Amino acid sequence: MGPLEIARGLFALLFFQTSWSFQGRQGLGLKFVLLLTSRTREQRQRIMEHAKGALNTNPFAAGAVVGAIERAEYDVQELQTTNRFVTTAQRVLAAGGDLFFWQTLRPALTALAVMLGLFGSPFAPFAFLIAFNAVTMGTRAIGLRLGYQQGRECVPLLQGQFDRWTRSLTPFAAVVVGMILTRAVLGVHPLRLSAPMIATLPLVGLAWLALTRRVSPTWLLLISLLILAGVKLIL
Amino acid sequence: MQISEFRIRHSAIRIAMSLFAYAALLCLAGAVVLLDKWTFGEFGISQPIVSCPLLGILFGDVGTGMFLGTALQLVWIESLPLGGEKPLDYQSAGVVGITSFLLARRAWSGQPSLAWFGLEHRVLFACLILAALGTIVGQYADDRLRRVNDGIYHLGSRATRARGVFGAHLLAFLPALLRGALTTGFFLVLMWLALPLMSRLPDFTRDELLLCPLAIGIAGLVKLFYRRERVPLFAAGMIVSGVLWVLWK
Repeated sequence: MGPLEIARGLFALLFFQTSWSFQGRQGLGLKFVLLLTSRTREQRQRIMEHAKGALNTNPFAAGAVVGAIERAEYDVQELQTTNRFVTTAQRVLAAGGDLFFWQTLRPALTALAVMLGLFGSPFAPFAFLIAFNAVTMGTRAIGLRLGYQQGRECVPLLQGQFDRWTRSLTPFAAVVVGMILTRAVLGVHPLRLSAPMIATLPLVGLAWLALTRRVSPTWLLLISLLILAGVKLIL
Repeated sequence: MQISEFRIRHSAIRIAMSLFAYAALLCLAGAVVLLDKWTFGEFGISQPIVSCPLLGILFGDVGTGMFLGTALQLVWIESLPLGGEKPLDYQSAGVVGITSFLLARRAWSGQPSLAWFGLEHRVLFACLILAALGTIVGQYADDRLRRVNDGIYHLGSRATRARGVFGAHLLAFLPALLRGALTTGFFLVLMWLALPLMSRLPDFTRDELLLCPLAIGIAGLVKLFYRRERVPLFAAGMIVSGVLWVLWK
């Protein structure tokens, strides 16, 4: 798989979830990506016949599924087991991918961006965009190449990679949370120890209690803003 | 009709028309940003920490964009799309928050007699409330969109040629754009209707407005990343931040 084919695969993967639906999930998206990356009319014909049904996996890990199916297109024996492979791969990659991308990478990077924002840096959004897209686009490209080179073996390899990345990134996230906490207590604007900011600490405790009891952050924000407004009006 | 009366009426219509055109532009920008949620790319542009400053840059208020982006990102920072679970639509919250603010600012810029600067923080408070409601309406609109996509999925499944699959799949851009525009537009109308009430809202400083989002955000992050063995890492972060704060000082 050359750089041009990887670039074409990456472009197609940007549309992977466009028609996400309750019934087909990303099924139509997978067919679209496979058709867009196919090279011959025969390949397209085979994709039209075989790529059917629903699919639900992590969008950034989908490159591996696409790469492995493309490899199977050259091997008639493998093609017969492709559907079974897709069923297994989507679950494994969804579990590992969700844990890494949604539960670790995105909160860690948004926390970093928020921390930069609290320090008054105008580069906060750019830092998030560059770091997040470097990892997600990189994973899409690695997945495509790994799927194409290793076939079905790419799934445990990628899964192991997600586990390693999650373990490496979590300590960094913990440090950033500590930084935000101090920044909040010391005051948001530099040079000012603002009294209301010290009130953050008991409020953090209350919010933590509410969140662990599965109170929605939306209702938490609405209720706390209304209480704040009531206090302000009374005072 | 006297000439002066005609001029007043004419300028009022011009202001209303320019406000309508401005709101339409905000709707379009909001809809395009919301495509990033899952329709195209997922680059992270729809995250409030990016979408609010981005729309702020486009419409001329990057400072408020940064403030709203930071506040709104914090509130839903631990809202995760794990497995098949649908997270809260905080992407809509970001777009609703900043576009509502921009509309209010524009509405007052045409009426210099009203003291905008006295109302700015009251409007920000209203924007935070509207943003929170935006997650609920956005979630409902998202559900409807996925049901519309069920039809598109069946259309694509029935296609016998590759061109039919391409057409059906890309057709999903239209309802996604419409969903974003309607969600943004609904809250712009609400903000426009609520404009006369802004002076009755309590006046806050930005620090006070950030208090609740900051507390919810830190609680969410602690819930997400706290483990007993990571306490030294939290402590290290606190020391680094403290040192940076002193250096800044």
